[in-house]
Amino acid sequence: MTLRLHVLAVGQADAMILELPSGRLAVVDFGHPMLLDYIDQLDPRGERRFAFCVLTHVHHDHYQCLGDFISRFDRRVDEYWYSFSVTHRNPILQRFKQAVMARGRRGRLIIHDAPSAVPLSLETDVDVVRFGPTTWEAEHPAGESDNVTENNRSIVLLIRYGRSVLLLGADAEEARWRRIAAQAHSGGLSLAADVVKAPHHGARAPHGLPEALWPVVCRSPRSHVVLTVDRLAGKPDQQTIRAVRGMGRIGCTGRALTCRLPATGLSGQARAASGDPADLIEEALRPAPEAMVSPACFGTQVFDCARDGTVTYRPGISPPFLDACLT
Amino acid sequence: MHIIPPAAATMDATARHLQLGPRRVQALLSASRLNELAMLALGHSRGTYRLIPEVGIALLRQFQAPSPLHVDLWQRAVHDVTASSSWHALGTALKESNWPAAARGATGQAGIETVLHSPALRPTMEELHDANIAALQQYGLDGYLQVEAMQVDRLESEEEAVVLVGPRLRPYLLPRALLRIAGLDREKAWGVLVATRTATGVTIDVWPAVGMPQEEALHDPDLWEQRVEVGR
Repeated sequence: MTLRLHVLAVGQADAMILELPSGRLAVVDFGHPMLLDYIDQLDPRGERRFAFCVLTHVHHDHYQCLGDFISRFDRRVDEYWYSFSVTHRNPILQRFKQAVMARGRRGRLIIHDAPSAVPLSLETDVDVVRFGPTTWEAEHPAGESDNVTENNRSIVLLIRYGRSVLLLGADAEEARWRRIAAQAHSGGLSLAADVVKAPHHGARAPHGLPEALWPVVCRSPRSHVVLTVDRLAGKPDQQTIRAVRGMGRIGCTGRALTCRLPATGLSGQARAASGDPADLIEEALRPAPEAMVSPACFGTQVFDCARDGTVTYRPGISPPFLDACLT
Repeated sequence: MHIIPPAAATMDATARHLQLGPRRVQALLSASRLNELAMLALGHSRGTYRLIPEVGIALLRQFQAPSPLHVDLWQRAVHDVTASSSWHALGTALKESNWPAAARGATGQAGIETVLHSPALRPTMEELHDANIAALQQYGLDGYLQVEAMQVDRLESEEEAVVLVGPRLRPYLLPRALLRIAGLDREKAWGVLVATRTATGVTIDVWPAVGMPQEEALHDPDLWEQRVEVGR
């Protein structure tokens, strides 16, 4: 029995699937429609339940396919966790709200005002620590001041299976990480992990993990650090790569120079057939990173975490890419 | 995602959005003969404001282009819009005595923009937007102008933001400089994208959304009720 983590190759976006030892699934973020196909491959008969599904924060590169996920898989989801309370008339978030409300007390807005963190037992030998925003952060609109950013409302997960530890950093920035470190310390918890999903796609502080914390979150030089990156968007940051090297082994789910597809997901021919008028906005603007999908992704990263702390993985990137990032 | 486009603006706001000085806009207005079509006097203390519907913005864009496209048709579309009942209703609403309480106490342009963006004026602005679109269709110009609701999703870098466009929430990178002009350089701000095709390519303008109810930015009580403290 293992705890298996799939970090999908979706460029600069987040979409992760956990396979729990019991066979149940869990989803952390919904940043690309590729997630739905991947779930179909993992569970072709559509029988497995989702122990929990987390929307870490409301940025489009984390919830892009959430509406479609709900349409297809909602009936098999046990719990939803989230960190927002304003839907901004966004139809995807409003759909999510319906799904949350249907769960009753199993659809939870995660708040973390307490000075320390507490593990939640998921199943035998598996527990998860949820680090959430404070009430103050959750109450105030993003952008109202420099102290409130949507990234810092992220739900960060520390997942343990026996001696194996995963740290999924969402998009938490420096200010949040300092609080998370204090909350973990106060709760007698170690943040040292065997697999670290680098916060904020590998951005450097103040928009990512502080350099001083990399030795804290990487348990050993054999730890794996996963960067969900977009080379064209300048991520991972060179400083992050330098900081991680020597601390852990780096894997990337991103892509290098790649083809650009329409943000609508339709080819020009298909759009013409659909009868849509000429799209001036599409002509004038570049798609956001999460809308640029390449068949030449470096590959989804899969980590098999055993109860005894052994982690095996399938590497998805060759070192020359990282060297190219450092030029 | 259904937001009413701006449909009308003060001359100063137009100058900001076109990134031109007021004098240059004055000159363009004169050249385009919009002067006589779109002037509204609001009393000595508040000055005189020219209100430019979105088709007027596109017309000014055409005048700026080295080889304008169908300027005569744009002129006729503007004329139709300013002759519409919704345009006159807007003018009436902008008389100071009709201002909503929220706008009283504001001065000059700020006061007018408060009125334009007030929920009370939303139905009128919606009608005016429909009149704009109808005029564009009538003269075959709808392929030269695209208006979409927009929300700022995130500030991606110092220079760019990701915006979600239209009902399908298509994500695009937009220069933050354009958002600053419209006062929308923050996450989750609502706005309107206006794309205009000219002889030199497609130009993007960004406007604040009109008529967004205040409660849109407040907590959803149902979601808020679901909160749980996960620490100790």
